[in-house]
Amino acid sequence: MAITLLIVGHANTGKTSLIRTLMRDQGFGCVNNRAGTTRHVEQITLKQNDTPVLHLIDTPGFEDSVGLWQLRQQSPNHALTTSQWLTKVTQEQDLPDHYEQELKILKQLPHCDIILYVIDLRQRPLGKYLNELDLLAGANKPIVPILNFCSDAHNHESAWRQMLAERQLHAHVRYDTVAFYFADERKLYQTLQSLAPDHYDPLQTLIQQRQADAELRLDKAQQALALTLIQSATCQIVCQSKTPSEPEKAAFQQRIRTFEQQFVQQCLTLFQFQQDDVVLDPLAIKDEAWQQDLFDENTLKAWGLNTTTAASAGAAIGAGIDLLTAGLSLGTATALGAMVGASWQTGRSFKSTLMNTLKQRSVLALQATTLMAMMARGQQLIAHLYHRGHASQNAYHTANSNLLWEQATQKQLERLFHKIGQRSEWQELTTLPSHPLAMAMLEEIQKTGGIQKAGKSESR
Amino acid sequence: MSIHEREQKVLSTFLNHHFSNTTPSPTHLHQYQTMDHVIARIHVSLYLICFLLGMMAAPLAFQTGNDQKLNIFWLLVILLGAHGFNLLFWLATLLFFKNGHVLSTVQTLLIHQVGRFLKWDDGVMNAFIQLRLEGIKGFWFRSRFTHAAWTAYLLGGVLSALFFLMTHQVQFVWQTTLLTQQNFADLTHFISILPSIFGIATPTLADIEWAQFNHASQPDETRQRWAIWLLGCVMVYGVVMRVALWAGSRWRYRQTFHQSLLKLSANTKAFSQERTILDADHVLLEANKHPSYQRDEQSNVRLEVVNQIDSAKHYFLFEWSGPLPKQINAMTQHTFLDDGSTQQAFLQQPIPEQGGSQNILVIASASSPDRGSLRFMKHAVAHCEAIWLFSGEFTEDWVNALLALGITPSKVAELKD
Repeated sequence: MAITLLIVGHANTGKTSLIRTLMRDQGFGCVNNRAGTTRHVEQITLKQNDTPVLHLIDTPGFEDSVGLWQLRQQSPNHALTTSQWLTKVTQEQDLPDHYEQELKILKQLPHCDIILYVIDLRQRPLGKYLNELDLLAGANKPIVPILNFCSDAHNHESAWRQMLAERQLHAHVRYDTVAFYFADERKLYQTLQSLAPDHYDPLQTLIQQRQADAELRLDKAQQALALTLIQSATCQIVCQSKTPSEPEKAAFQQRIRTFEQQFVQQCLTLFQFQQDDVVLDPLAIKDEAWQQDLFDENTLKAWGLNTTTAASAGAAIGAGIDLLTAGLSLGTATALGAMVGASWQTGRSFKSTLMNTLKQRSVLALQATTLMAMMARGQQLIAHLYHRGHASQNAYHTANSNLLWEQATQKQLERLFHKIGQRSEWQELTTLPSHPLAMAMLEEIQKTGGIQKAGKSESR
Repeated sequence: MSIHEREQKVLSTFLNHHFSNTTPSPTHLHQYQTMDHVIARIHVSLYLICFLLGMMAAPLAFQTGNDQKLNIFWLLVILLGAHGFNLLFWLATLLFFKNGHVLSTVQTLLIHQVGRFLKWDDGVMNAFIQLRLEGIKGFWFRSRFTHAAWTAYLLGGVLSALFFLMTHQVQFVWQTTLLTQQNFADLTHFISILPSIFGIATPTLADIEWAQFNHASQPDETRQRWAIWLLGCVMVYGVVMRVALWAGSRWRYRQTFHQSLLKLSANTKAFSQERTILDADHVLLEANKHPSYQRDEQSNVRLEVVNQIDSAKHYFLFEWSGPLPKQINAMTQHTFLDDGSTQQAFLQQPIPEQGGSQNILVIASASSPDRGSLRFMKHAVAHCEAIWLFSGEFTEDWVNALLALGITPSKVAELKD
């Protein structure tokens, strides 16, 4: 059976936002900075392979807990324990109409396993919050305080921790529904495991699945970035003359921007965000005529590699036969296979370059600096989306970023982009090739991205 | 969920993505399944070829001159040398080149060639390669094939050699220029360690002496022992070793395949949601209509702005969390109304008309008004001279709410920092 968590707290502390972030669902509920946005009680069930794992119950916020506590203290209620009083008011429903929303919360208390009490750390531990905790204590259920807005510069975390400690509420969890860290979510589920041991296994599976999800999303996003950079680096437009015309330049720039837009869209889909969450600011594109260096070591190597790969396809079969016959065929099969494979590839590579040179046409391609800017933007976008909570309401702007890499890294990237740029046949790729250059690109993105995976301890 | 079901799920997502989110046709799914069968059949055919090659190669290795003498250790090198070399090569790739691009590229090329020959869709081939052969899975897939092929080859060789030895009479000899008989005895004993575990008799010192090159014809028992020992070595160091490696590779392939499916299926939305309203929002009761939500002529009220504060007055800061306004500091009298008791104490003060102190209630309008704060304001207004709103996001909401409570506009002012 799935565990039921009741999400309670004062109005506008981020209860609905918490559910959005936990569920990775921007569409849940209504989020507004005004108090009293949520006015109904809604349960959202998370299912894993069609099996319920978690029930989260969203409630309206407490708005007048001071008044409610004063009511509880009045005669004849003062003679009852809080638990008895809660039972009385929920069964008889004899609270004044003014407390209609609070009554909805109190009626859910018996039906949950654990209460998650959401705290806005931007507020001090005021009396109304303490009254809420006093009321919830009467439910005789474990209470886990969720410290929301912990990334805010002006928060009262230490005061809250002290107050919670005085009330024996030590198992609190830091969480930010806007700046999301998987480590915090894992800690939340681990806290729930310790409070509800019967639900240990399903929660453990949930943690593992979420972690795998997070890592996979990051991998996929980085691969998408690598592919975008390869597409952009190898994108070429053959101009009709030696000097590119304005329409040719515009067409080229539009193509590059389209690659970036596709990448952003892929990331939004991967991380389950909407179009409005990212604003793509114009990319400053610098391009120059590209010339395939016929004497460039990498160009020749590229063709050599091509040739070798094709040859090895033929040679593999020959070599296989040779090994199995313990060398008795004296390598004849190997040599024959290699010759057949090699001749096919060599002719293809040189053709386009020679034709363009003969016809005096220039070729538009991207500079390494633009590619590095694209890479930095892409990495920053991925890092932002990786840590963006689904309750966040401010759009992210992909402004042109300042490169923060060392000179050595920049030079290395420049060399890598130059090599990749020679592979004009990669312009039309739709998936990342399993080629050493492509893998090197991916490795650079992973190395310089600055993101720690969900499985490792993340730092804020 | 079984591996097969998980693979089907991941495959559907793959093909959906490749074919631009249209439902993949049964043809594509059929092609994927067929590819698996075709590759299996190719493998079996190659195993058969290897078996036959082994059967053909062994008699060649046993070719003798007119004297029908076979050099024992040279024979071992011929029978097991290539196998040993291949094993070392495989170990080297295991240790250093598990994700070897050349071998992986070759494999991909071959799959594509087969697929094109059979006119399959690129998307299906790419899905097959990524699901079944990419990364470390590909290494164990190739290893599985390699070890099975060698097993077939060596088995063919052993059977052929067995048949040859059953129908021919040969003498097993060893010869040397640099080594001694003791060296060969030691070598024989060393090689015999593993075969002896399986019950294969180790040639004795006498057998070794009889097998010396320039000796006369050997006794039958000696020839038999050498023959069994030779075949036993090929079985143990060849066939058994390859079978063990094949089993290990097969297990590792299944493991890595399953792990990669788990990882891939994490992106196939293993999670789903279901929502239920447990307690709906009814028609708002009059008592609960939030005054701040009323948008009428009250919102056009222009507030007086406080420029200077009077240090003689007492300032009551209502549920305050932010920094103090600059004008209200340690030099001015101020009290926080943070909880029920301080708020109740405030409400019990004499009202200004009855000689109470001149109180100013200050509200941080960075927080939205709620029912609790408005309930307090309704009573508190009688006990204070004015209510100031310290500039924030919800100033207008507070103004609307206070005016809706019947508080006169002249009593409300804005305090700017």
